[in-house]
Amino acid sequence: MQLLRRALGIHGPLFTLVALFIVITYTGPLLYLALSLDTPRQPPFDILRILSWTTIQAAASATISTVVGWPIGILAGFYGHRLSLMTRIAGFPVFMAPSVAVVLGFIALYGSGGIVSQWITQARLLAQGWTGIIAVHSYYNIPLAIVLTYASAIAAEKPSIELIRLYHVSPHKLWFRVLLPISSRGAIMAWLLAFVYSFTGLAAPLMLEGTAYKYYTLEAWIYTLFYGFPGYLATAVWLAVFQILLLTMVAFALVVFSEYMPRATRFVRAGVLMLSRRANIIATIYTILVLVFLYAPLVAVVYVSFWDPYRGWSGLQNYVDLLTGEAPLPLGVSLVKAIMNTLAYALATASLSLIASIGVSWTGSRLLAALSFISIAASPVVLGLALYLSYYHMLASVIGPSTAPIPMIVLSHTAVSLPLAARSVWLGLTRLRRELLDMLLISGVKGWRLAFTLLSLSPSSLATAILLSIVASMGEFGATLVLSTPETWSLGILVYHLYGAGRTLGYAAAACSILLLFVLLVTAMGSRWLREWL
Amino acid sequence: MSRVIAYLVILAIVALSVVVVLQATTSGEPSTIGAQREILVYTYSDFMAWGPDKEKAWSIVFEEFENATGIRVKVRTFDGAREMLLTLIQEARRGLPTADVVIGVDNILVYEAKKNGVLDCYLSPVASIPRELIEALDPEGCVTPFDYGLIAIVYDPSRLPTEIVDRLRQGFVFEDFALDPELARMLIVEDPTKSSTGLSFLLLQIAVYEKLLGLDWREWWRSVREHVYVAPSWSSAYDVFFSDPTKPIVVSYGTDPAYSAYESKGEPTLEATVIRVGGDLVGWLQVEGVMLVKGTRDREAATKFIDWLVSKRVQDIVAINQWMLPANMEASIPDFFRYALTVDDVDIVANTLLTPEEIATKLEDWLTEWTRIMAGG
Repeated sequence: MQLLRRALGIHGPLFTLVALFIVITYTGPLLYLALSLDTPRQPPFDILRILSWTTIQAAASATISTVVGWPIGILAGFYGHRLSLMTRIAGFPVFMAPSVAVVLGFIALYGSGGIVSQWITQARLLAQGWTGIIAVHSYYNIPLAIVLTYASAIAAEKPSIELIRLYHVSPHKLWFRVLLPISSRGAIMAWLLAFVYSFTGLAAPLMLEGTAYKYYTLEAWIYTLFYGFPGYLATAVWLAVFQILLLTMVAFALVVFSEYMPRATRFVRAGVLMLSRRANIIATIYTILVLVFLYAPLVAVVYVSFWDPYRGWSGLQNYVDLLTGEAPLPLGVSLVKAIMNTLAYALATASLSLIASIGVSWTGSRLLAALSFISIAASPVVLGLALYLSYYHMLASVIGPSTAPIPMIVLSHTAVSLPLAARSVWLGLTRLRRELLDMLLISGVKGWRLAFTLLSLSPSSLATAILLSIVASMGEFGATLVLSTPETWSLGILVYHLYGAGRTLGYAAAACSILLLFVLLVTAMGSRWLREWL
Repeated sequence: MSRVIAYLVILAIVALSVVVVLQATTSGEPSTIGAQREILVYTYSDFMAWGPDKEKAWSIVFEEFENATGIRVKVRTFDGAREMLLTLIQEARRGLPTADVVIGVDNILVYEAKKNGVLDCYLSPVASIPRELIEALDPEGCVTPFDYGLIAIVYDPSRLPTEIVDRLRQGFVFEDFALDPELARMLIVEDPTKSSTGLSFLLLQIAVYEKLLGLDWREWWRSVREHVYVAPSWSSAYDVFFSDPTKPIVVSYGTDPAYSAYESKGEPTLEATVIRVGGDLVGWLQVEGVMLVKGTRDREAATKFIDWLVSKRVQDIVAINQWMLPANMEASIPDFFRYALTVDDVDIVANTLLTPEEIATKLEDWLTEWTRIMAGG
């Protein structure tokens, strides 16, 4: 890396500076947040109770998603089980699916009068109360557990596993003594990440079961205090800073632990073990069940958009109403405008993330790397709050109050997507053959020429970085909810506001289906590159 | 690939610039640019939405005014009235363009509007609105009453056991719901921090507990918090009421049976009741008003619109479209309203139990305390 930095010459620091500038524009406000602490009022809830509930639901969700996803990671990694391998890829759009889409899907399936709950009433537990929140949070971290345990599995030393196979160890012993421990690093990593994502999940507590304050998490309270209780801004800031400190510890554990994550190379092939016929049937049934569980909510959203259970409509009526303005949209808001906003945010985010991630990955700056991962410790709502307090008045006076949210929204989306994009670019660099890099350096390729050559040698990692940024931006919810005004709503925020109740479920599902279509299209376009990244 | 990236960067910058420029040039500010005068009106999503033809009702309220005065009216709707007021307060603080007129501020939200400095005193002089109604909405007479109704507990007798129906027909007894979780699970209330209906119900409950029963109002909420369903707005509460067979009781209005009779074209299928304390029936009168927002760019246009809203032409269609009673005494009221519960059906109007000063000083604490209880504290 040092050699590369030297060869880049003046351009190395230039990349660093540009990346640093981008990263500091959103990390600086977090510092400002900590410095602008004012005397808080006693929050309208028992802080210990909320903290316990937030932690317990995050731990429970992380555990469930790890337990459900881990076997598939093992089946895919050690056994090369085809359906499990497919689920690893198919799970990605689910993991990246906008959280509002997931929650809406759960409501459509398991909510009052839902597609499943009208036949199996017990299924309603999946869309109400504490069980609903844990179910939703577990749901979208299952693919993460699959990917990370798979990564652990394929990085394991093949000869030792083959040796174990020769000794005819019983399947029970093989799993509990060998496969699970070997892939446990991936599982722990998955648990930690799932814990953070569940801790900061916003859509589920806000949207499930009306306004059930008793199930609000810390993140939901920070948003509620900011938006619904004008006199509690100082309290919201205190809670935001407290949450950053809390999550910094988890993020630190994550960074430390990621050093111990086994690194698979590009050419690793999955599968050294064979499944018996019976085991294969069980594995296939289990994987199908998980796949159905993962895709059912997304399919339900699309289904409800065409067959609105509340109005008894079928066909395109919900879409027509949204486009013609018949749907109850606030002033200044239209479906087309929300789509345009979403696409513009995604493109701008992809550009900023790509530029920043090149700086982060190529220059090997530890400070930059640490700062770029700040979004793990700073949740979307906290980030939104920090950006709002730092920039809003300045931006409003320069570009006007209606336009001021746009740059802040793009910055928040960049913060969320940069860790994904930076990892992709970094992987691209590490996967370059060492000899190739040496040859370039020996033959005196320097500066811009070297930069462009490197870019042209790792097209898949750059494309992946762009796609991941676009998808992350399209799915971002918390920060956009804090920052946007109706004129600057993204599709996700439009969906959230459209879903007031059962009466508007069809409209929300129609807007949500369009958002899902974009996410799936982008994912499908990049599936070839994403497969390598995953 | 590098070329592709360069194109992408340029494309993104262009896209962002276009959006920024478009936003800057087409912001929703009410303005008087050019010849057209324009005002921005905030209201809740169910405003004039429950009649035979919402489009016609809106056309009378907004288009007829536009045609008569040449002033354009832009409307933005919200789920709940308190949510609407909170947005207005946030926008005013942020310096964002905000409403000129707000429809749906009730006799409790008025205090919040005043406290946050967003209310500009204006009482329409053109309509014959009873003095009691004006004072019930705001003792200082700074807001123009639009309609009014009694907060009530509405239930569907066909979805309830006869024994419970018989009890409810005698009146809603808070204690029954506190002692019986099964009963409490059937009840839908609105979030008082977002909905004006929910806020009225909370104040009614506080008045009954603190002033009539001499009990701590928080006890009742502590007893029912695990069981009642809290909806963010009146309309979503009604959605749950209709779609969830296990929840046949909702906090709503005394005029709902009139609407039910109109819908069924015969006898009402829904019934309404008020609170019973000992032998007395207790109700809360909700008066909805039209508020002029401080800092409006075109005060004359905004006040003209308020005058229009309380004119006989608009007030004549309030009953059938809002299912509330019109504030203008000259307005007509359809026959279905004989099924409605009104102030005449109660022995005590709970509004009189809480002084305006008490509401003004304690409202925020009550809401905070309610939130704390519902959050499990």
